[in-house]
Amino acid sequence: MNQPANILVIGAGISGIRSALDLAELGYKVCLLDRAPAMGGILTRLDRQFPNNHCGICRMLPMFDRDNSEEFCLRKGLSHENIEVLLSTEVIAVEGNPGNMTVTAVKQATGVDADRCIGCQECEKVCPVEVPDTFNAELGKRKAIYLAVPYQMPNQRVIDLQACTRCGECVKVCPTAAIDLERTPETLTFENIGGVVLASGTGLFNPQDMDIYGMGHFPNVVTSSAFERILSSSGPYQGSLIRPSDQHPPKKIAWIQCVGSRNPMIGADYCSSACCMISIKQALFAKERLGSDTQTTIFYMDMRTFGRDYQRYRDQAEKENNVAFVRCRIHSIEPNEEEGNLKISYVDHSGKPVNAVFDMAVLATGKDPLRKLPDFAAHPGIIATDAVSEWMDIGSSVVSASGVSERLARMLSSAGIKPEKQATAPLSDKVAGSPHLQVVLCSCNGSLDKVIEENQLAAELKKIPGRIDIMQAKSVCDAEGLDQVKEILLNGPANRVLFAACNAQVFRPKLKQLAAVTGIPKEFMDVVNLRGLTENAASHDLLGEIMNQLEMRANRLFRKKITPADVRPIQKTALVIGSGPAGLSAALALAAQNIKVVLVEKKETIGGNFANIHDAQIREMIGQLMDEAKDHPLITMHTDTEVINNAGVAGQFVARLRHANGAETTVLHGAAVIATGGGKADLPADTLADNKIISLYDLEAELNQPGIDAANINTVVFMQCIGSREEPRNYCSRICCLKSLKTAMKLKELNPNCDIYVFYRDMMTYGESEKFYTQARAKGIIFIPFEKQEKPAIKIESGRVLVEGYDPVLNEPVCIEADRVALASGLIPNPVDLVASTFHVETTQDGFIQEADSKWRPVDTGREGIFVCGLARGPVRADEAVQEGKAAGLRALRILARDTIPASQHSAYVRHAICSLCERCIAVCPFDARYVDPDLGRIMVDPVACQGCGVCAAECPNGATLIGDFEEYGVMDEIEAALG
Amino acid sequence: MVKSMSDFQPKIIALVCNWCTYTAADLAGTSRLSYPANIRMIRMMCTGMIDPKYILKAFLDGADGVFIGGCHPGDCHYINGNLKFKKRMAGMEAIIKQFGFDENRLRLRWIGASEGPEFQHNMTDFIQTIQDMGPSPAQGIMVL
Amino acid sequence: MSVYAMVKDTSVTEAVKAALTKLISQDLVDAVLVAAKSPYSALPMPTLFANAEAMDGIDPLAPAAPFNAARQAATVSRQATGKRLALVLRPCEIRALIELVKLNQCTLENVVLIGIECLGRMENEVFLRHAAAQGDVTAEFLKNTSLQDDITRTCKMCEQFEPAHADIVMSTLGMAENSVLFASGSETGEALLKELGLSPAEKPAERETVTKQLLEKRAAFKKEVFAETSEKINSIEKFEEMIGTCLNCYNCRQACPVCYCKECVFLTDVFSARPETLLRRAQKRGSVKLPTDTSMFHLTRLSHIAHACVGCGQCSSVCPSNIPVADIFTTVAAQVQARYDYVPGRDVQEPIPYLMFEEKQKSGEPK
Repeated sequence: MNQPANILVIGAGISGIRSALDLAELGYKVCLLDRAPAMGGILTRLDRQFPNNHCGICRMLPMFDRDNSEEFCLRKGLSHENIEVLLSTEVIAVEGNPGNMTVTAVKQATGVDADRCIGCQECEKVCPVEVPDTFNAELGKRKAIYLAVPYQMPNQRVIDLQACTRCGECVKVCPTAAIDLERTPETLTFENIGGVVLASGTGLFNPQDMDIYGMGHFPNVVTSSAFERILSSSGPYQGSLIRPSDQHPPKKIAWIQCVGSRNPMIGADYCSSACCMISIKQALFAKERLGSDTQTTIFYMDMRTFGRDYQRYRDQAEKENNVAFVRCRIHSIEPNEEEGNLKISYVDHSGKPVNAVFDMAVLATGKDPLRKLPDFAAHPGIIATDAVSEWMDIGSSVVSASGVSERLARMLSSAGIKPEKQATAPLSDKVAGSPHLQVVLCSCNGSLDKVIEENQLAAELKKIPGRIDIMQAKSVCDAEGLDQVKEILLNGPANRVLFAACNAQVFRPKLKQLAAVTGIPKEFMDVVNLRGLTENAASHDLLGEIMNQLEMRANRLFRKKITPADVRPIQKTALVIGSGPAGLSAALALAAQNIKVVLVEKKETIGGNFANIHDAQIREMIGQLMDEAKDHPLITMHTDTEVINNAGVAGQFVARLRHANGAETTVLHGAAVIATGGGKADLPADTLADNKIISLYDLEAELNQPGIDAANINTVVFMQCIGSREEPRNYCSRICCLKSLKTAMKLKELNPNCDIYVFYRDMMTYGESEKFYTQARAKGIIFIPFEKQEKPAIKIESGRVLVEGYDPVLNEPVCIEADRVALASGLIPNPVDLVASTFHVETTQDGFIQEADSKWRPVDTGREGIFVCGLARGPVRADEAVQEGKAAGLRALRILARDTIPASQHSAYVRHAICSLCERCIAVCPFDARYVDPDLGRIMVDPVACQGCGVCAAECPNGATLIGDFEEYGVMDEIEAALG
Repeated sequence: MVKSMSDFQPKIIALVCNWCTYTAADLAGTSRLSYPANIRMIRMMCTGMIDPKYILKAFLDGADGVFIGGCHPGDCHYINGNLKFKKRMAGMEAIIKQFGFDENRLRLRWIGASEGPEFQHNMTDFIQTIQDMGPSPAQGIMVL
Repeated sequence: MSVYAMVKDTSVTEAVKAALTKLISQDLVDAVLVAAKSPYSALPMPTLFANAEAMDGIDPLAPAAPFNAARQAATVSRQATGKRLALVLRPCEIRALIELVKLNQCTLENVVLIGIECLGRMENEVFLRHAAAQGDVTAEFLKNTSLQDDITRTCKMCEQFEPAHADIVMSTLGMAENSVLFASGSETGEALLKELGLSPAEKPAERETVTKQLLEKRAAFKKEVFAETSEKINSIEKFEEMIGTCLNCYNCRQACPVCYCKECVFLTDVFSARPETLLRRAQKRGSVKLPTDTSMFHLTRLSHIAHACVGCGQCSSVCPSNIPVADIFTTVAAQVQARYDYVPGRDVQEPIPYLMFEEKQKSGEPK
């Protein structure tokens, strides 16, 4: 990074990375700090995610202006031109006002000089101190000098100075003198900071002190995060699912939900939201790894499968994979007679005490109730992500982080802080000339001297075909060495550079610096890991291998050409479809950044479901958004209007709007946000007709009438999940449980003597809304669970409305005569057929818009430049819709904040002269990035959507389409050299 | 014969996906999970980028084996590039087989980012397979 | 169900002519593409007729085809012109044309496909020799089975001599002398036959037996060729021997109806090696034959079109070195097509195998 940072992001986990990337993609300079010695937080410890059991971490990386960042798995780290990552660093004080803050941080000494460490692992071999491996939930051992995350690149070691005995063995063997055990912490001061994102997470509950679970006493009781590590190939058992006590595969595994959550006794009056789904996922993986006869049992209070596709995931686990679900709080876990086995005692649904024996128990732990926010957290200018106060799943964290990025960006722009325009270094004239390669042999401070000299590498290299100059350097990692190279490149004839040095990923960021100075693009530079080759003792022909590798890379470099740039202007207008809380938030987020917004609403009025909302807080929130949007000079509103056509590519779309009077308007825009919303589902057709049997929405409305007299409402039954969470509408609507609770409490307020019964399947009071559930029970509201197959029956007998159900606590049938039966019918999306076909986006089986990836790209659609948020994507609360709107606005802003579409060197391009227009490339493109320009009669590449995957080039039989940086001729020559 | 087999150092081209298998390869390296050195790894952005020409070129230029490593289905950074390659692979197997290259000299495996041990195992196993098969029939003949 | 009609004239060629000229004279189509002799050669060339009077030289049943006319057919049907076109093609030409439709090289919109039952074609010089000797080779060929032995090797192994997907099929097997059977293969064809006013007919009873016999003979020969070829190329060294005389002239690619690239990749920079690379190659291997990449060319072409090879045999016919290219291609193609359960030309709706993969949806989420 050339300029100092504008923004600090504290915490380099999922939220922190998302936020840092968002702001960096807008052009801000970001410093991403973490007190841990490696970045990633929980991200590096997770292999696969629900509800698809896949991994998609890399999908968080920029898809736009990709040349600014390195493309590799985020587990290895993050490399973006606008982000500086500072590890082992903790903020201790914040001063000043937003726009001009001073932040003080302490960088802990790691004992290892990151600039010198070459990751050779010699120190680890000699270190005599072994401590529990924190990366693997202490299930294995590591040395006191270690690699904090095994994927980490650069793979520099750090020292656990608390464990270190200062024996000095490592210092002796370090080939680059990188270790200094006497280093002390360093105080860092960041000035002129515009704003700070606090994304430090909630911490993880440690169940060690809860006697009933036996954690710490019985080795086969593990936390769910430890189980995640056991499942991982990079975990303590190399991916074998075995239990810690005897390393045998378990046959019966229990998952205990709500360990440390939903427990007001320990200050945990909240739900950790993601644990239920994590346990289902883990049970499914256990079955997959160990065979379907493995017994997996989940002990739960409520299975909180409240995400759009989560109920089906649970149903599938239960029906197709035979995961057992037992609703109870377990009494205790105790050792069984057999070595290592565990006896779990609980009371089953019929009230009978049961002792079940398991081989292993997994404690589903969530947020740590003891975790406190730092003192500076409330300082103005600091914006915290929701994941700081609530444990949540990845998708929600990502949405929340982008919402925070939006707020921060808005704060900065109102403080007049704009991202620096990036100056692109002009290309050197030499680049167009015939290929001339400079090979730089780095001895890595003398440590490779022997290899270079014994093999007479400099002389051997001359055999590589082509014009080659060779230079030797002591170390290209330090300034002096790099200057030497700069000098030669600036004054010599070479226009391509090949370093024979150390790990390419360690060195790659330096290539950018070099490119900026010399005008030779970084794609014309490459690095061969000479050290890695040398260390491989198994090699029978070291020289042969080195030459081979160098020739392979040299061949690729010789064939490099500059990809022709396709510079296109960006239409700096956004189209937002839908004016509910999500759409309004997106529109305001964009307008705040000086982007013109065309807001299209199908109905006569804006505000979405505003008219039906009775919660005062939510009404105020949406009302404010409506007022702001109405008054905003950059927002043009079209009510009674639909979008009937949209064509073009991200940055340059043309949409046609049709108004109620039949008139049409054309809108040129650069990105669209779909926020078409949804609304209440109707009661099922077979609902008995009686004015006492009403929808939850109607009861809510009734109780909110001014001057309502509830004295005659003495018994009310709430029935949850009406038509929801079973086919065909097999999803949780997310809002009903909370709405029933709030309505019930309102009723209690109006009529304290009212008897209230809530029949529910699983109370979905996730996160902080658990508090309402606790309060409701304290107020004497009676909660009666039922299963999908045994729904309570509603009857009318001589004018009386009766609800017949079964109370598992009393263990007997109940019959309640009700004055009101409130049916929670849930939410459905507004019809999206037109919008989906207009914008070429996919829909889910329930009629929501399908996002690109529910975890990592939750508000993107499969088409770049088209975003989705709020109820159009899935059931959400109004406050969540606002977050999604902000996040979607921010995603659109990445594109709209630019003037032109940045060209990427690593993208597809078409050589029209030899293209036969067979369109196979269009059929295989996963991002809809290719199209036929009907006027030119040519295949075109959408430079924003194209991600450079190369599937088009592999499909194209004659090289009419190629991928920059991976041109076929270069790869073929590389293969030839490899087989030398 | 036996002696020549043990002297046989197979030449293997590994075309691996940048996101998953390459990460696993790096992980194997940092975890000191060693595997025989005779593998020339070429980083592809995605297995979907692998042109049939690369496989043919490798075999005609004397590769004893071609290993292709990609993300598990569903994990592809580019959504389904790996499955697109899998589809092409079937035709390639038929072609190389007809011309006397044992189908098993071309191998496709899904190796996820955290699967360093799997990477090591796959490499070792593939080299063993090729060792057992002996040199490629294209070795030592003049390929026009 | 097909409807049948029959035309009898002084010769089969005259019978065909009588029917096809009506297509234009009755304004049923705007133009007909059909093989016709030119004033300068007996070798029938694909010729586009817009005028019935000009159709005197047409000879679609002649046992000659200097090239697979699918590419020519694609030239005139590259895009819809608003005009109605009749294309008179052999079965292998129709199959190739269908592949070209899938490759977006042409459209069947407003196209009437008239397929001919093809008993095979001779190599050009063989046909010309016969033409010089006896004038109406077509008539002689259709009745004289010994002349039928002079067809190309690839034709002898062709089992798909009856065209599929044609709107109208013209056939002679089992028919009385000088008569041609017209059968409809679609509603369009049926309507056309009606409008042409040809005399309705029954399918001749003996047709089935004759067809079956021919099919058996062809199948047996194909099996023989596949076995023989497969054995001849089952090692890369044997293959090198087989293509040792290849000149890298790329005639086979030029003649191939499904090799649709505007410019072959072997003519692009992808295969133009740097001189340094060639020197290096020579250094390493001791020698490099020029032009390079001969086997690479054939194998790459196989990897590109084996799934789509229609077995027309033109690649063998045009090879100046008499390499049995078609033997190689049809043998390998059969194996590739079996793996994909793909038959080129079977159905215009059947997608190219490479464009179908397990998870077709674009997003990473399960559906």
